[in-house]
Amino acid sequence: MLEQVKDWDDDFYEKFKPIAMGFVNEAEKCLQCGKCTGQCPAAAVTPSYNPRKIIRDLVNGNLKRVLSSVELWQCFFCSGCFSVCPMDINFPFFVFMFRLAAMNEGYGWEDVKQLEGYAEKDYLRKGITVSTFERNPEVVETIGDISKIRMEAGLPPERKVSDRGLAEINMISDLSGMTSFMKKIGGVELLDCKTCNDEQAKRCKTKPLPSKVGKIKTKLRFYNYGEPGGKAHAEA
Amino acid sequence: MADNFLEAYGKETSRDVGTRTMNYFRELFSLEMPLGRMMKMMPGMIKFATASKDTREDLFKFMPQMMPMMKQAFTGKKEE
Amino acid sequence: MPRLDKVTQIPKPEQIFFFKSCVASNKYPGIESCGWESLKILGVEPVDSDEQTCCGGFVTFANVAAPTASMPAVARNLSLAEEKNLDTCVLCNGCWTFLNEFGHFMNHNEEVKASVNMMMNMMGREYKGTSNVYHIAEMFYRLKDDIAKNVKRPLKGVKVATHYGCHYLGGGKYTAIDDAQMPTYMEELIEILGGTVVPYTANRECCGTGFTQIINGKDLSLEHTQHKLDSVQEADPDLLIVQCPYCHSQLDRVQQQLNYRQGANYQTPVIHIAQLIGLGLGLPVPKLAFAAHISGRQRLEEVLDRIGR
Repeated sequence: MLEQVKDWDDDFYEKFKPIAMGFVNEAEKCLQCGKCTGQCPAAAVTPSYNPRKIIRDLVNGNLKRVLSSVELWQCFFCSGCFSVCPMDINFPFFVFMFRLAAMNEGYGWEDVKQLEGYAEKDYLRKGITVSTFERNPEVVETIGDISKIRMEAGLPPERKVSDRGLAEINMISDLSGMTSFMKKIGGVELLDCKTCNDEQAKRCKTKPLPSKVGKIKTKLRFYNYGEPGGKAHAEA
Repeated sequence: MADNFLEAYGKETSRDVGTRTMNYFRELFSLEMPLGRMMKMMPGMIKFATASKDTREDLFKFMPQMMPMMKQAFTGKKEE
Repeated sequence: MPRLDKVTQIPKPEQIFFFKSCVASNKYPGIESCGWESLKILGVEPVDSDEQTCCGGFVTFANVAAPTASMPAVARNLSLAEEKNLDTCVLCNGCWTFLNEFGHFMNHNEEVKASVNMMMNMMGREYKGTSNVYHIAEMFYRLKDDIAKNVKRPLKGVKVATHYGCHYLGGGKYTAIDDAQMPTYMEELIEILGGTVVPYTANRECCGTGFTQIINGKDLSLEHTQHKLDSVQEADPDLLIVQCPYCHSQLDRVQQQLNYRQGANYQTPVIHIAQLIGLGLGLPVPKLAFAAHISGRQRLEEVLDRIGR
């Protein structure tokens, strides 16, 4: 009976350790003390997020629960958990690695898709991840032209990366598999019900919430670690 | 709410998911250079060589180092 | 209390490779110009290269780029400094952790280093792992005696609060020059410049950017930042000092967003440590580029009026 209930991949962590190459190798020493959760900025605003529980599930190999959760995508990457951890577990690296694994399972593409522009338009074309473009009209009104401010500060009007530098990072991207990785992200289309046409509706797998249809089979994530919290949910 | 993911995965066990994840990581972080991977690198290198004159020169300087690697990738054997 | 043994290990070089940050260049140019000019005044000649790209940390940790692309990108940027035989000085906590941590990783993994170097060799470069990476705040703390000698515009009566940022103290808890829970080196720098340090409760809390949460999980991010800003407003400092351009952008821009969304009134000027040092060393006002700041512009002008333009 117990074997049926227990659905854990016990050896997973042991197999994973050599592949992580020393980045995340201490987690089996986790004391479950919860210091990480105590100081976590994400846990402060949404009670369902709990690094302690996520570490436990990763080490025990309860992978289905971790990979399909929304919580995995709520980490702030502040490294506060690492700074307080008595056993020196670098939890943010876990999150980073398992976000990749979750993407492999088809979860979380809608988040990644929104960030695609930073890599494709800015990092690979200009060499600088954050561009001068402002989305907020009030900000544009307040600061005006950024190149004018740069000139007044004694800098060239625009920071430019040389063509040689751009050619090099593009080659790194091609050779290390980043380009093909980004092609996959490009294959995801973000849609919502308001703009959905009939053909897309046919392809849509999750009828009530057709948020994404594309070449990648994407799935919706769940709140696996409890009720979502935060102000937005408290009022509703 | 907490059990929705079990429905989404259906009959698959954590072990199946673990194996799939492991294979994915292995492929991603592998340092070996099989032929398939070598071929995938070619377009990037050609793009780099055609970018400008000095990039082409730098890449050609590397060619002698690359030949044994190519050989190894084609034959699948490590040269002694 | 800063770890003095670590501080003395930082060299006082004649030249240093000045690693520009993406947010500092494109959103707050004052950080770049002040860092450059104040290093010059303190006797360290900054050297830059236009082949330097962004560190690549954002795209990697946002999972937009494949993680395999990160090591060569780090090696490439570090090799630019190695070619010149210099150490690297960065402006941003993110660049610091990313270059430091992955550089350290490659130095201790010969296999990875060899495979990265193969890619580097194709471009006529080589990564040796001889260059160290220092944060500009570390450099300032190391050069604090020179700062004390060169103060031209004392910050008399200016109330200053600090925000250290997570990736420097938390992410690099063994390499940073101060303790992760109770850092004090920025306070020391403020006192050297003649300012008054204002403590506030949420000092050690994250700025709330959450790397990508400001884009993907905006509710969480704004709620956390609001908590931080409430605490800052209670202490009512004239300036809030950060050492990371990304925290800078979050704390500065979210004030305006919260004012617009909730009718709040957050007006605390946020400035980078390089700008504060530049202010104290008497750089001309256009070099500080306060025109690029969004919140608390009026208060910044008042501070400038008080301490002299």
